[in-house]
Amino acid sequence: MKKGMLILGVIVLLAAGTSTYGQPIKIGYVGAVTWDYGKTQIAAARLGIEEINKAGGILGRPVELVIADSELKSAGASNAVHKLVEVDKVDFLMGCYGSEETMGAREAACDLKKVSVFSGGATHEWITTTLQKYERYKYTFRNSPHDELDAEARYVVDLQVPWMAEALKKELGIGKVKLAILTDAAKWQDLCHDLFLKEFKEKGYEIVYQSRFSTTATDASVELTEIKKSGAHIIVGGMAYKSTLPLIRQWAEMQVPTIWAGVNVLAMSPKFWEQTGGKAAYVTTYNFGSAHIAITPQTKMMWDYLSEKLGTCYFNSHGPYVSLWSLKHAAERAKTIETEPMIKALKEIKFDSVGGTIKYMANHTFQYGPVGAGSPMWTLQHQPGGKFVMIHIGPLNPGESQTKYVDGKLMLPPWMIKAWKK
Amino acid sequence: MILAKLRLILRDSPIFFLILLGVFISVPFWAPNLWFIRIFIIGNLFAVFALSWNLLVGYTGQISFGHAFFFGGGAYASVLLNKYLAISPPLAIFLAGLMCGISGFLLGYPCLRVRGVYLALMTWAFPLIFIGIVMYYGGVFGREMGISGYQGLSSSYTINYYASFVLLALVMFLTIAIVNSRLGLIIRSIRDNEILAESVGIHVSRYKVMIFALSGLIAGVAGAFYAHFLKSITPELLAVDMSILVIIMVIIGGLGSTFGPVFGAFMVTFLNNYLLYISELRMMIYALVLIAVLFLRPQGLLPWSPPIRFRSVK
Amino acid sequence: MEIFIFGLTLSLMYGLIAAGFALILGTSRIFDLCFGTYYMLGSYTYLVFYRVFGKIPALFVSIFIVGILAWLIHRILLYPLRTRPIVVMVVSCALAIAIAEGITLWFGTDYKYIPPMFEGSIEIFGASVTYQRLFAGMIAIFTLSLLWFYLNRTKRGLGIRALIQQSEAAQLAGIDPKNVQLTVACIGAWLAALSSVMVVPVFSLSPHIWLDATLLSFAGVVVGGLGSIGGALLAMVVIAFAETTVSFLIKEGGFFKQAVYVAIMIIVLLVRPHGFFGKKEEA
Repeated sequence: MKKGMLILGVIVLLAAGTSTYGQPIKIGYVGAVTWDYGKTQIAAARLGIEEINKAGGILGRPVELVIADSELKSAGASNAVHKLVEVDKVDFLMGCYGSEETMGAREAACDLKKVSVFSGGATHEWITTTLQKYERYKYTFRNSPHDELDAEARYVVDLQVPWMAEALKKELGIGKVKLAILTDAAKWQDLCHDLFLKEFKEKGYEIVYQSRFSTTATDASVELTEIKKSGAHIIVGGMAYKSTLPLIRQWAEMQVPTIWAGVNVLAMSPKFWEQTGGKAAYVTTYNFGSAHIAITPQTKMMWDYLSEKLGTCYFNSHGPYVSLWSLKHAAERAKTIETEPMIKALKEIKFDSVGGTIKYMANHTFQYGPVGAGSPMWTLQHQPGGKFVMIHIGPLNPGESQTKYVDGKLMLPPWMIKAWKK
Repeated sequence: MILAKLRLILRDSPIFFLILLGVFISVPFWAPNLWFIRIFIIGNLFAVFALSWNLLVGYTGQISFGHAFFFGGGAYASVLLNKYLAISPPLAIFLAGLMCGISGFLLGYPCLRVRGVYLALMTWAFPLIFIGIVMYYGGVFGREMGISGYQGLSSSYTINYYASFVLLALVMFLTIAIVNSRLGLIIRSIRDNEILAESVGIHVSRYKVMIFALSGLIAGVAGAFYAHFLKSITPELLAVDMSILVIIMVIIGGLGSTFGPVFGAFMVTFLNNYLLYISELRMMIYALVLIAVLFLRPQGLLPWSPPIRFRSVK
Repeated sequence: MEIFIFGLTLSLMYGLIAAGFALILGTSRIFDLCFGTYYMLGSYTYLVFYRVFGKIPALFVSIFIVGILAWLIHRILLYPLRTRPIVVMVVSCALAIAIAEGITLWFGTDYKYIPPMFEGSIEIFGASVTYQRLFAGMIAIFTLSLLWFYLNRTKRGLGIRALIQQSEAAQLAGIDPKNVQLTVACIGAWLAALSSVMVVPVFSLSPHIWLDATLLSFAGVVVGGLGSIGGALLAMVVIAFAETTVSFLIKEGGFFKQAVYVAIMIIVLLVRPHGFFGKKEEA
């Protein structure tokens, strides 16, 4: 009897020691900790962890955040992932902003076979290689736009520019709208740039200028002079680097009579106004993710939260928040946090969060605008006085009108009206 | 003569040397976790890189401010050979090193025409040209996103570690061999007084270019190995930061000695990962330590380095 | 036509930047790579003070502060090391890096906004030129003339020129090289700070512009020749026009802007290592 009790006692103790009940689930964040990109993501991550722990954690276990700095570099991200897995022994990974980081982190995560839900760039690489080498890359998921070509460029070509062109024709009496295409001289715009050239021509626009813009430039006077000479009405931009700042400033100073279309990542943040000394007026950019309009309740919540806490918010600042909720929903569906069941569950979950409806596709990234997709895309404009408004949004379903979300009209710079109005 | 030097080291401090060797050889066994081995491997590779710069600058006196050209160049070359021509990683690394050696040979010639500060300026420009090519030809080189999805050397940390350790040992041995041979005497005489060396019949140009090529080859091999270890490379391997980093490692560790650069490389690698997390703070501290070292103890921080004299004018 | 206008304004701006470096280098043979740091700090101090004191006073404050810094750097670090040019180069480079990283820690890596002295732009022969560019050009002409006057018509200035041309003879005549070096360092730094506040509003401010300014000035001295300030200025005109021409005429030329002056520099280094107007210098 006594021996039996002893053995039972030993078994119970052993079970308790090896059981994971109550032990925290560690989730590692990789990102540019000293930059705004990383700081906003970390703030979003902490918010997500707070909410999830209040809702009982993941499978009854509390969630803990571990942070490692990637220094916005590929080697740094790779190192950070290894540190999180090998030293801190995290269960899952998330984070990343830039393409280089994402590449480095992804390779490391797949080497280590760790389920990860990243939020960074490197879209085209992602979709082509995930399906080609599925066994290697199946561990990593991504909740940023699934492809510049399919999502972002399509929004610009099919919805944004035609809508702007119509507005110009009506207000200024222009006949044929002329376009200037100016994109970053960087890989992420290589395919978009060619797509723009081809499709805008097919749609009947006249492309009077096209060039790539150096990502380290401090002076855009050459490009802007040429654009002014060419008589363009709209500059279709694809900008994500700091070189945007002198470009926009000089555009305003030189009073180039155009409006902006396309994307301008720095302009996605409310901080852009002071970064350009107020010369950001009339600049537009597309965006997705969080916004000051409640497309879903979490969309506005995240925008307000980050704007208040850090004064800035980018297109994937909310990424880790969505990653955390993705992991929670997936774990609950799979009833375990083991690797293979989690991968399967992540592909099956669907829920509303920041930016719209979250659903991961077969290539482990996620569907964004324009039409019928999980999450829409919209266009924002900085307006005089520091206002930041939503002037256009892509419909969630075909035939739908989403103008109820729009809270401002497209404003034209006064020098442009003077230059073009008949 | 090499054996004599080894005997000298062993005789003077055999215990220290043997302990060091023992520590290095047994790392995979006593490392607290895998990440520690990873850092050690990176340390080994940077030590090789540092030794290559040391060979060029410490022994022939040709200042290079752009050694990232060879390191990053070797990385890109090896990765491209592996990804597009399906050459196995060990062979790719070897070929990349060879290609860097040849580049060093070709670049060494124009570098003969300039000296001192102007040489530094010219070498600074080399990696810029490579970066320009990488950024322009996005299809092959991947622009700012770099290249990934190629093979690694091995999936086992242990194998990677011993491979990098063997590489380091080989390069250290090579450095000692060169320095203590007749070749070493020749190149050091070039460093100390070129005109005098030329006047006694030494073909200064030939030797300068030869060491330039050798230095490039070694740095290229280190870079290629590093690339296959990381599984993903970007133009940051060619950036000015990398060139400056190797200068910091060697001068703080000790220019012109064999253990100095190795010590400097390990010190920097471990500090980067274990203490100095904020990269800007890190660079600032290294730069200030560098200034202090140059002012107060130009031969570097290793306690047993002989005093060094930099070339003076006037 | 835009090429001419932009090239001209750029030459003046670059010339103003390079003049200080050429002066320091020519007089004391010191490769003060911190020159770019004086340039960068000129703008950062201006950024800090212009809201407090107003634009013009802030300009003078930043010039003053940078001058003191340069004096200290030369007095404590660079003058004692003057016999070892390589060490001077490495030490000043390391110091420049340390200061740049420090500024990054304090201000962040974002490009900061510096308001121009005058807002607005004007159309000249079809080229849209901002008033700031024109103003910078005018200040450049004014300052360089002042510099010429100082170097050629004042006693101190002539002493400096004597030291540039015939170092030993000048010293025999009683000119104190240490004094001159420190003076020249200050003047060079003042020029750097002034050019910074004039030029940076046209472009952008970040902690790393020190590298661009140093290398640009370096290129000017390489092409123009050691010891010749006029040569450096002429070199800057050539480089500025080359850059502008390439940007406008070549497709996506903006991308190659930096490559242009690097290429010019390398070619001159190979073909005529001592520049076009400089004295032949020994190893």
